Formats: sequence, structure tokens, C-alpha cells
Amino acid sequence: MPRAKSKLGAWIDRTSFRAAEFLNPILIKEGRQALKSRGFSVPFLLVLLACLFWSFLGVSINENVYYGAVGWDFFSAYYLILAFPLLVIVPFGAFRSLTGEREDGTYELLSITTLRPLQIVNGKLASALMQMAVYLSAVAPCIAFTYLLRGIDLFAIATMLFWLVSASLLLSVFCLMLATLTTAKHWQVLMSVMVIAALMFIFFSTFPIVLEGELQRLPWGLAVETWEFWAGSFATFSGVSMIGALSYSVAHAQLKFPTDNRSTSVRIVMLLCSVVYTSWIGWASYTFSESADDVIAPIAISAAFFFPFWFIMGAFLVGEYGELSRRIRRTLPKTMAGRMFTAWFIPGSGTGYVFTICCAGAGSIFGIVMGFYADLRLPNTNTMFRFIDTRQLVQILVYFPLYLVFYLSIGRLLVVGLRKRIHVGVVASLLLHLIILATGCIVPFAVDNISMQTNFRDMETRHIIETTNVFWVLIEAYEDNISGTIFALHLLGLGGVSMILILLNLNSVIKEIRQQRVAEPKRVREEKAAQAGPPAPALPTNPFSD
Amino acid sequence: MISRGDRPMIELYNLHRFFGRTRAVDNISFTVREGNVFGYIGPNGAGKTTSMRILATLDHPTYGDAYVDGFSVVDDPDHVRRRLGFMPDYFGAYANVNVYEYLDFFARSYGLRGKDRLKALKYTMGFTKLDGLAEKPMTGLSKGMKQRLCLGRAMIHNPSVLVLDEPAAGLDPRARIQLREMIRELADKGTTILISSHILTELAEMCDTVGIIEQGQLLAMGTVEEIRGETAEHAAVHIQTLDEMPRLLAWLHAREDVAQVSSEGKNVRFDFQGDKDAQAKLLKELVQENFPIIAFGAKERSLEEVFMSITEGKVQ
Repeated sequence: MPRAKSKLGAWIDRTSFRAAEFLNPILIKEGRQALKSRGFSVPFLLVLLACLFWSFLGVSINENVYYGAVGWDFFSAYYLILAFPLLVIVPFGAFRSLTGEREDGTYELLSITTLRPLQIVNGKLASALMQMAVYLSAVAPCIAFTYLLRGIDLFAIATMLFWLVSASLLLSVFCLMLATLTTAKHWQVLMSVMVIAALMFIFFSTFPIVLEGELQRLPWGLAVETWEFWAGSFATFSGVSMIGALSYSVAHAQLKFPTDNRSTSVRIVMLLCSVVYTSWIGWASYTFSESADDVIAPIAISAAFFFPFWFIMGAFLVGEYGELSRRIRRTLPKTMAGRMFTAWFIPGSGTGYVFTICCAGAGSIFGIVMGFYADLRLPNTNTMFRFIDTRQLVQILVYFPLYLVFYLSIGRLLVVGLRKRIHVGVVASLLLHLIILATGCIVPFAVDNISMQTNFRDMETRHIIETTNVFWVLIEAYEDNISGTIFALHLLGLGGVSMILILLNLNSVIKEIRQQRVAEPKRVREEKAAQAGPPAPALPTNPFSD
Repeated sequence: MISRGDRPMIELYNLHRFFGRTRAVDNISFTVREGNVFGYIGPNGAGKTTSMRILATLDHPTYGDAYVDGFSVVDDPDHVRRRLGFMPDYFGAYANVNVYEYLDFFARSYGLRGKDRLKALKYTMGFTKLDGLAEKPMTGLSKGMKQRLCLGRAMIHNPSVLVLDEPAAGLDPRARIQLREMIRELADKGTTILISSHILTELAEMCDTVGIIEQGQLLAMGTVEEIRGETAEHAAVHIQTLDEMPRLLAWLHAREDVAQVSSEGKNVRFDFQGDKDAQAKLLKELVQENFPIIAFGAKERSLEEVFMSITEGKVQ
């Protein structure tokens, strides 16, 4: 501990020493490294120089600087200077920080300490936040200068900086998650190139948004004074946060020990994502709607994002292994009721399969109920959303889970079958599902188009041929080209096959949920008892009482 | 009740680790008791590092289990990590970090706080003789200093078990002796140590027990003396007799288990094929034949000779 000579210095030393005890060790280590590293000091100096350069250039070329309100012009330039380190350097630094540790072998040394995976992820994020703060402090005097130039208010400055820091944090979490996905050197190199390219793309995408002042009007061009602005901002922020939370939980899960439960927390966040998105879409549809169409159309559009999300998540979950380690089995619920409700959150291919279907099914039912409720409650006026009706919404919200069940069931049967011969992990499972989906779409499409050249058919026959082509059928459903008969035939055919596929999957699903809870080993119980301290001494009893 | 020294600190039960078709560790079982130093010997690719990595919770077994102080490395890695310090065969350096900061980071990572951390740092730096190097950047350290720093990192949280993978590799004789003294001192304080090395003479001096591993299998295990004895199928025997040298030479030449007989004065030297029991039987027969034997000695083989005779140098 360094010792200062003056009383104040000594007090600062003592206080900072005590405060540092509560900080994440990774933050302290990376802070120390950053202070000595050129990788940090050079970009920092460049940001300072860029700000200085723009200050001189801006003042010299802008004739209105003495009389007009030019704060916004100056701020835009400083904002873009700041955006580069925050959107490119900091997230890429977070990515390299973890991949670099894996390359140098220091991650292994870190992983066998008592630091938990969550602390490792938090440490890396805290380090990213610290860097953001330093870059912000470099640009802060210039931003204060723009306020003095007028033309921009404090609220706009705060809002824009808030979104920039949020974006930087989100990108850092996402990059950290990517860094945990692979340990193979060649994949890491490939991923590094992709990450830097994506970050540069995002950085350059901010140019038109900033220069045209769109960011200041977020969300959706609403006026700041309105409560809708705040609700919309909060909705946007919570939606973005959910992506961050999902990336965070995946990164945390990936760093866990192989026998740890890597799935439950990710499933909870997946479910939370669905609930948050569904709630906001539902709320926004009602709040801003003047007619039933304003509700039904956004739900139908959201479904186009909601179900692909669950297809990808489902493909990952189906790729999990169902054999639970003794460590996980210790945490299984004790009661029958507990097991019934939480069984779908425990790791495993079968539980993941049921979990995905249930979540997608619940979303679908929610959408249908909302559609009917809007249809009954709100008037049907001709608004801009008058391109979809309740019947179409029902069709779309039935097709989506049906196809999800169809493809996930086939995918899972294949994964289970292949595992008897080879190892199939989560990434392989996703690839397999994508191949099955592509086959299910391309084959009928090719058959339909090739045979069309020789034998022209009506649309109804084509709809039957294209039954497994989810993209064809859904586009037709959105365009209201699916007749009641075809819908019934699809329902009967696809529904029937899906039911059979569910039954085929059910046997292995039941095996997974019947796993028995195991007791903690004696040594662990002893350790817990030792940590809890000696048992409290028995109180003296009254010899005269009964 | 298990007394100190009897308590099993490292236990491997039917440990298997396969990488595709390669059986890196193939059914290894052994126990190391508290305060003992166990030497792990084997050619490159024998499975030493893999089994050590499993113990350090860096890898997990395909079958079987390993325990550190009664905690399974598969099911309770968090408990194991609190008790175990691992020194791998690589350095694992951070850029722009000096010796003190490096140790301080690991002390914090092991949950040491406040005065406990400062005490641990002071003790570790003193023990590993790194006091004078606190401000030195890691990149400027010699091999010997790096190894001492690695040992310091492994022992910063005062673990009851230390797993050291090739700690003496590439060290000069002085640094090797220093490291050996440190390891012996740690063992004397009750730390259980599992150490692998290619310098077998050092292991023989340092270890209470050794295990010889090849192609993922444990071929022999015991004290150095036991292993020498168990595997002693050949011995260089020396006999000193008062008289009857020609009859003795003829008697030895007639035996099938004796070869390369040479004599000088009253001394006879020959290669004898047989273990210690057979050597005792040979002596008994010599006495029964009324040879005036005044000295009988069988030269013990070195650990290197034992290692060479047991292993075949095969790798998978």
C-alpha cells in the first residue's frame, strides 16, 4: 500500500485502498495494464488530438461561430470522434481481452481461481466501462464547449451520450459473448475479422443518424415533451437491454465448468426476452392504435421476428445433452409440483424442445387473443395498416408454431439419432436444423417450378406441393392467398405429421425429466457445516417445567 | 479418525480421458496422502499433463473421477480450486504487469482481501525470493525467476495441494536446487505435492512416492526403493570370497541366471537375473555350497535405469 506524507494524501490512500477491496480483480488488473499500455494511450491521445483539430478547424471555417447557434454542428463532429472509440475500440478491446487471454493461456490460470464465471464477465465489462469513462472524459471539455455555442440543449447532449454509451455497452457484451463461443485459433482469427468489420459498419452507420439529428428524436420521431417519448425510449432501451441480457447470460454460461448448469439461466432470459417484447408490442399497439388494424398488423409483423428467434433458440436448446451431471442433479426440485414446473428449465435436448414449443405456443395464443380482442373492441377504419385482417392473423399465428414444431421435431430426431454414432453439439445442431429447413423449402420449390414448365397448375395445387416450404406458405398467408380449404388441408397434413413427430420425440423427453435428484456428498455437507460455524449451544432448560 | 499424514489428499479412481481414439489417460488410480510428494514420471505424451489438468479442474475425465481433499473434481470444482494450486508447464504472462501486480491480481482472484492479501503477498514473495523483483516487469524475468513467480502464483492462497507440471524444465542447476528446496519445504509444512519432471534423479531425492506412466497407464507405483526393488530383474552382484575362487567361478558359470562373470583377486562381479528374493536365494545357495563368502552386494539400479526398463518410449 503506497503511503502519502500529508494527512489528506494518507486519507485518500487509505480510502482508495479500502474501496479497491470491493472492486473486481480483473478491473484492477486491466486498469493497471491500461495505464502502461500503448494500446490504450495512443487511441486516447488520438481522440484528444482529433477533438483539438476539429475545434480549431471548426472555428476557422465556420463563419457563424461568433453570432449564430452552431453548437449542434460542433457537437455532431465531437460525437462522431467519440463514437469511434466507443463503438469500435472498446467493444473490440473487450473481445480481444478474452480471446487474448485464451491464446496466452492466462484464461486457464484465471479459470482455476475462485473467481466465478459471472465475476469474469463482470470484470471484463467493468473494464470496458472504465475505458468508456476515460474516453468520455477526454471529449467532455469539448462537449461543454458546444453547449456554450448554443443550438443544443443539455437534454439533447445527455440523451445522445446515453444512447452512445448504451450502444457501446451492448456491443461490448455481444463481443464478449462471441469471444466465449470458440477456443480454436482459426475460428478466433476469423471471428476477429468479422467483429472488426461489423463494428466499423456500425460506426459508419452512425454518420447519417448523427448528422441528420435523428438520434435526438429517438424514438420514432416523438416530441420530447410527450409521455409517449419517454415510454417509447424506455421500450427501446428495455428491448436493447434484453439483447444485452441474452448475450450476457450466454457469455456467462459458456465460461461455466462443463458439469455446471449452463442452460437454465439462458432459458430464463430467453423467456424474459419474449415476455418483454410481446408486452411492449401489445402495449404499443393498443396505445397508438385507432382501429383494430393498428393492432393486428403489428402483431402479424412481429410474429415474423418472434418465430425465427424461437427457431434458432430451439435449435440451440435441442443441441444440448440430456445426461445431467451429479452436480446439476443435486439442484433438482424435491417436490413433484416443483419438478413439473421447473423441469423445462433444466438442461437437456428434450426439455429444450418442449420449452421452445411451449414458449412459441404461448406467444401465438397471446397474439390470437389480442387480435380477437382488438377486433371486438376497436372500430375497423381504413388506416395505413389495413392490409391484414383477423382471419389472416389467425392463419399466420397457427402456421408459425406449426412449422416450428414440424422442423424442430425432425431436427431433434436426427440429432438424437446421430448422437448414437458421433458427438453433436449446439452449433452442429443449429447447422443441422438450418439444413433441414433449407431442404424442406428448396425441394418442394424446385419440384413445383420444374414441373410448372411442363404442366401448369392452379395455385391451390401449388400450395399443396409447397406445404413444407414455410417461406412460400407464410408469404401467401401475408398476401391473403390461402383459402380456407388449403388452410384446413395444411392444418390436417402438417398438424398430423407434427403430432406423430411429437409422439416420436416424447419417449426420450420423458426419460430426461425422470432424472432423480441426488444428495450432496458427505464431504460437501461437512464443508458447509464448517463454514456455517459451530452449532449454537443449547439453552439451559428450566428443571421445574414439564 | 484419520490422523495427519494418513488423510488422502489426492485420489484418482479409474480415471480415463479419451481424445477421439487416443487414450490419453487410461484407467489410472492412485492416492497421495497428506504432506507427501508424489513424482509423476513418464515420457512425453504419456498422459501426465492430461491427468494433472483434470486434477486442476481444467479438463474433465471421460470416465472415472478424481478427488482433492475428498472433493470431486467433476462435481465440486469450486471446492477443489480453493484447495489446489496448479503450476502448468507454461508461464501465462500478462503484458504491462510487474511481479507484485501479477501476484496481487491472483491473490485478489482467490478471494484474499485486505490484510490477509498483504500478508499472503509478503509471505509468498519472501518464500519464492521475489522480494527484490516486485517492480520488475514480467517480460524482463529470467526463466528461473519466472518459475519462482509461477510457484508463487500457485501457492498464493495457501493451498493444501500443489500440482506442479515440469517445474524444473529449462532451469540452470542453481535455480533447480532452489526450486527443489522450496518444494521440500512446502511438503515439510504439510502441503501435498504432485510433481512431474523429466529430471529423474531430482524426483528420486524429492519424492516420497513415484508413479511411472506410459500410454496413459500407470505401470508402477511406490516409493523409489519399492520401484527399484519391484523392477529389479537384473542386478550387478559383487562377491568377495576368502578362498576357492576357481570352484566359485565354475559354479557361477554353470548357472543360467548368471552372466558376464569377471574376477579380480578375491572379488567376483557378475550380472544376475533375478529380483531381491532370488538374490537372497543365491546367497543362501553359496553358503550351503560352503564357499567362504565374506561380502555380498547387489548394486541398486538408478531411477533412470528403472524408468528405461519399465517404459518402452511409446507414445500414442
